[in-house]
Amino acid sequence: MAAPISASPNPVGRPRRRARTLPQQRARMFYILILPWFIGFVLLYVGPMLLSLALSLTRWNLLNSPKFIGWQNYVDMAHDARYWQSLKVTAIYVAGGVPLGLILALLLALLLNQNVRGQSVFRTIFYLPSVVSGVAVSVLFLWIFNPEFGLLNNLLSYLGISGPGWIASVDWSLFSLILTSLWGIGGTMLIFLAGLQGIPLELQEAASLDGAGAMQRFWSLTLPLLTPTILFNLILLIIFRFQDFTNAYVMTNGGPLDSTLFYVFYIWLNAFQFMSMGYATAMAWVLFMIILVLTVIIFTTSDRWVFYMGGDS
Amino acid sequence: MSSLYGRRGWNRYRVWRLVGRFLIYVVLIAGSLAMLAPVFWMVSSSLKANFAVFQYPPQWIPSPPQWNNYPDALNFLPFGVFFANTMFIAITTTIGAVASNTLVGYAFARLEAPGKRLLFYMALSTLMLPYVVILIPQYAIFNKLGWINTFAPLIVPTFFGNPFFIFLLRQFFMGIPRELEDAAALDGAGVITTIFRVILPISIPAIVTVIIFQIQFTWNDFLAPLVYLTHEQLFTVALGLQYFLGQNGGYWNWLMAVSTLMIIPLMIIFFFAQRLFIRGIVMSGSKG
Amino acid sequence: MITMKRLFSLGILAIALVLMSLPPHAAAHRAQATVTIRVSTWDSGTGGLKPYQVGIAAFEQSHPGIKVDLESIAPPVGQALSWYIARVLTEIAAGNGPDVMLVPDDQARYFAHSGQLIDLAPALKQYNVQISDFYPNVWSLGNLSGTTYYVPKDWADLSIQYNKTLFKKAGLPFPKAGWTWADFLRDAQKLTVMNGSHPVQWGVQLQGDWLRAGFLYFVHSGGGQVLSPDGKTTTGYLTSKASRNAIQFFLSMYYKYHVSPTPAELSAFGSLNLFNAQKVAMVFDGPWRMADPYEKNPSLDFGVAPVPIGPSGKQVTEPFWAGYGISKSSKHIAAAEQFVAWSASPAWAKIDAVFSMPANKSAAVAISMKQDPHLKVFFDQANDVAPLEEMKTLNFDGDVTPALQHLIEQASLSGSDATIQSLITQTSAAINAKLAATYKQ
Repeated sequence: MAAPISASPNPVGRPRRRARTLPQQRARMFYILILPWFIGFVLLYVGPMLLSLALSLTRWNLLNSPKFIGWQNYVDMAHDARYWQSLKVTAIYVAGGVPLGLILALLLALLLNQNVRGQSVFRTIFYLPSVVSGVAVSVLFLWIFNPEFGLLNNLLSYLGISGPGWIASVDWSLFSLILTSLWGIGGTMLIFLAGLQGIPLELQEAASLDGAGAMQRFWSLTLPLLTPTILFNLILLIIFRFQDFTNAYVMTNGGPLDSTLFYVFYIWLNAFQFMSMGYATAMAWVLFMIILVLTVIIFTTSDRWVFYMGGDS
Repeated sequence: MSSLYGRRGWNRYRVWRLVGRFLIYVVLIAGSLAMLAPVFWMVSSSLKANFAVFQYPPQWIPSPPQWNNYPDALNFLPFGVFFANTMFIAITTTIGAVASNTLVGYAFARLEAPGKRLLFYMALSTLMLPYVVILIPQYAIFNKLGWINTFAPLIVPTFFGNPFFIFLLRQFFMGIPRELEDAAALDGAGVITTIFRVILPISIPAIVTVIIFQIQFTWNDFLAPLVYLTHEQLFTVALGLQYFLGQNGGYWNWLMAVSTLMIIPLMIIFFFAQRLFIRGIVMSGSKG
Repeated sequence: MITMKRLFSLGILAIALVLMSLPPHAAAHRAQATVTIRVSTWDSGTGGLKPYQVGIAAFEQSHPGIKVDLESIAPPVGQALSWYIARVLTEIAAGNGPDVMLVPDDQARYFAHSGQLIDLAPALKQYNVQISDFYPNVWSLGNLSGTTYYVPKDWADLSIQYNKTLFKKAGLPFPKAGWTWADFLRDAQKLTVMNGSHPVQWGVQLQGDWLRAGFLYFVHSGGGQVLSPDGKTTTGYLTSKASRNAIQFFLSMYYKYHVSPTPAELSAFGSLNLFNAQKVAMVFDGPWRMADPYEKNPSLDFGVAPVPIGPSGKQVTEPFWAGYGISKSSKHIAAAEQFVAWSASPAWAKIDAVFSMPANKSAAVAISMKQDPHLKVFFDQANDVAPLEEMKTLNFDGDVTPALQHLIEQASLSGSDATIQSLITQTSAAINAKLAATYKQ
């Protein structure tokens, strides 16, 4: 580990320039440091994003030239029953899966942060599912959720419970997919772990010495210091869950009866199967706006509950 | 407030601690079983004959175990080449990810400048638009550059930052008390030096997280390789895995075998990396 | 320790690595004289690509000056073809389409009639391709409105594979040529075994959402059609008496007789092959799964029968096929034509026929596929193959398929004799609306 910086006879770095004030200097450094991202953004995203926005105003089957139709795609969306179904399905998936995922990941991270024996092993075990290749996960969970011959109903029958139709049932299919997504929560858990590790030990010890019990320490010290991480996981989980699609695509094909017709899956179908790329793009931009608005709201209200130990910027 | 009775041995505090410990173990073990059951099934399937993989009633322990599935699956395709390709991409993208995102993340965390909030939203917004609609324009760009059927579209973008990691590191950096940076500034350290001398050493957990995520993502990513790689010699392991599910029925046992093998390097990396999550970094110069 | 110098060298190393990943200069690749054509397919893997590589090697040897660049794809589970199509469409949209494409039956009309492909007739004449050697019904699949857009690479059709053991156990005679829908239903009912309200074994696996192997077969075999010949409406076709009766018969097997797993139950099984696991006694399928896993499964004793005859009185089965087409925007049309013409030769058809059946009669005979008792039935139905519904309209997948699949799923879950006809009427209206929108532009 690096030695702590203390006053030394040989200062590191160049002598300060007098020409600019400190804030101006730091602002200049900001623009310089974000250049890697900004250049990539301009080269790889600005063009494609603007182009796709333009394409959302066209009818395009990918093979012939796009044809300008104005707002028609957006109007069609409003009248498309399947579109509203996909929005509903995805909203439920996010509203159900994100809080559950966050709580589960946090609990696991807390558990795995205790000094228990075999800590490394447990952490690896809980992280393991999230790195199994998506293909294998889908195949595995199809087998687990099968109503007739699957593992889950098998286990339930040992307990005398007759399990529901899971993947094959209109009512339970979405829940099955939420459960599948929870199995891969290892990544979120990992980030919580990193956040927990960033809480300095002395603070914990000082609180203990002051007589704070474990629960009190958690609520007054750990949780507030963890809020930056919570914010991160919350926003990213929302962004990603809104765009989940592999499980619907592989496991249920959006069914039965569109009960798992995820939004991005429906976009995919329109883009490459129904030959309506313009329509698909319009749908994508609507989703974009929804996610953006949600994110901005969460960010602006975050000042009230997120505490940065290094002070606000 | 803990109440300490005068006697040695059992007191309320110790009992609660013991019960708590026990409960923790119970939960951890129960959770582990839930997490591992599908994995166990995966490994067990990898040792069965193909027609026996999905049979009812389910057979937990394959008998006899078909160990030859592993060499057979690996020989079905040039997995050695796939593995080498994937390693190359994983290493280069990790370097790119750490290098670029550290700088950008720090800028967003600590440096004030006009338009900063807007730029941050712009960065985050690229995650919000479903990939399928920018796929074709990006493909067209890469095609113009002549990068189709090379690793370039997979590697080069990682050197230009990834909003996921930028956001992650920003949060982490913002959580570091300012005293150290202030001290360094007093010593006359510039921003770059501060980053490397002060911030990075105490950000090891976050950096390790970035590394783990980037490696894992590259390892399992099949979408970009699917679109940009058209020749078998360039395929990655994730793509190779898809081969087992080709047009005419699948080789489920081989799929499971290779999936099992794919987990192992990631697990090894993770197992050793998470030891770098060292608890409580000692920071001298801070209060208390 | 992290020093500026170390970082600098790391940076140089990183840049070097990135540069290494960039492609070598294109000019170094090939000598100026040869032409390279790109051929794309969705087959994959060492086994799947072998026939191509053998055939391409022979082609390059007999055609010096032309090199073939084979582009394969490793498709994700399930919807293999849709990923292939997605990538091909992406390439074409970005101006980088392949010269020769293997196109599956579902998308054949699409590429042909959006002006993407050239007419192959002149090339076929120039290179003396023996069209008469092809099964006529199969050859015509690649034609649209008199223009030849595709040369069939291979084909297959639909038959019934049945479990001999389960038939014997139920005391039923094996299905044989000439059997009818009534025989079929009776067998399916006798072969469905329940344990209380739980089916332990189904009589048949109806293919639900896979229209060609289920719904369409029944409609055609019943003497009906889905779309008008010009592909613009369903009125009078989907809603004709023959079609309505056939659809009711098909769907009643779900909601009334319960002889088959529903589409939802079927997709829940995903990876499990019910016939192989002996959970269903019969299955409507092509020939692809017979060699593996059925013949490899020691406990499965199965036979193949032609599909039953419907009320139309005629033997009707559905085709599956894929064909090579040449892109209009290819820069090497002459070379591509030679390739496609060569692919129609019996020699390559023999090599090519790994999973499917060659469309060349001489090749089929030569490899004595016809004598294989399991495959013989498929070949015998060659002249009973119905024309494809999908070829009738531009965007079958977008305009027609979703509504039909919805009808099947809904009827299988909650249909009844009382409601089925109105469901069909609603479906017809929904499809008409979509078709009208498509043809309006």
